[in-house]
Amino acid sequence: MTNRLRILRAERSWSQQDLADRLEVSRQSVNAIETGKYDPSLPLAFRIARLFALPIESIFSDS
Amino acid sequence: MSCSSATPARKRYERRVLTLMLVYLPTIFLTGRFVRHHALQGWLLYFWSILPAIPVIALIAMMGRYLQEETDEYQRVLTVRALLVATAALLGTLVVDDFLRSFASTAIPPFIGFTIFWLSFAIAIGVQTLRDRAAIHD
Repeated sequence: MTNRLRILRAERSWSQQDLADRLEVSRQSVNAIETGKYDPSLPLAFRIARLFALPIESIFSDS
Repeated sequence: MSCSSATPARKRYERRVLTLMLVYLPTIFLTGRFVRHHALQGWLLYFWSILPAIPVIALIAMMGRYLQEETDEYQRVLTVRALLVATAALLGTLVVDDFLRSFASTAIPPFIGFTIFWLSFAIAIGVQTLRDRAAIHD
């Protein structure tokens, strides 16, 4: 699964730690998701989508 | 969440482990003294022999509690992966020990299994942390 998390974060000038704080997860988790090492659970994917005010499918794709 | 890499659940777990170690150390010391200096027999010998195992078993229970309390799902995955590595190392050690007992009439020294379990766990956590650190992009 690929995602646009790093791009969305960069557009807002957020560091990984900023995003981690907003999602209430560790920076390590944000990094693992961004680098594709870890696919988030559905609840966390929804939290990410809500934070960026975007539909899940515009952030994550299975290509 | 703080800027520290440890989550609140991990900090609570570390505090509990430290407390258990503070219980374990005098327990093992007292057990050593009682068993060596008194000719214990029967249930008293069993009691003192098993006593130091209680904080160690509690240590394993604390790991279970940590996994329940950890809200960061990726940290949970890292811990479970490390536990799987540690369990595999422990099972491997036990199998070797069983064959040594069966065919060579010897055995691995006591407490090696426990040491191998936590050592493998620590190595697995360390390797995953280093791998993640190497891939950090900000």
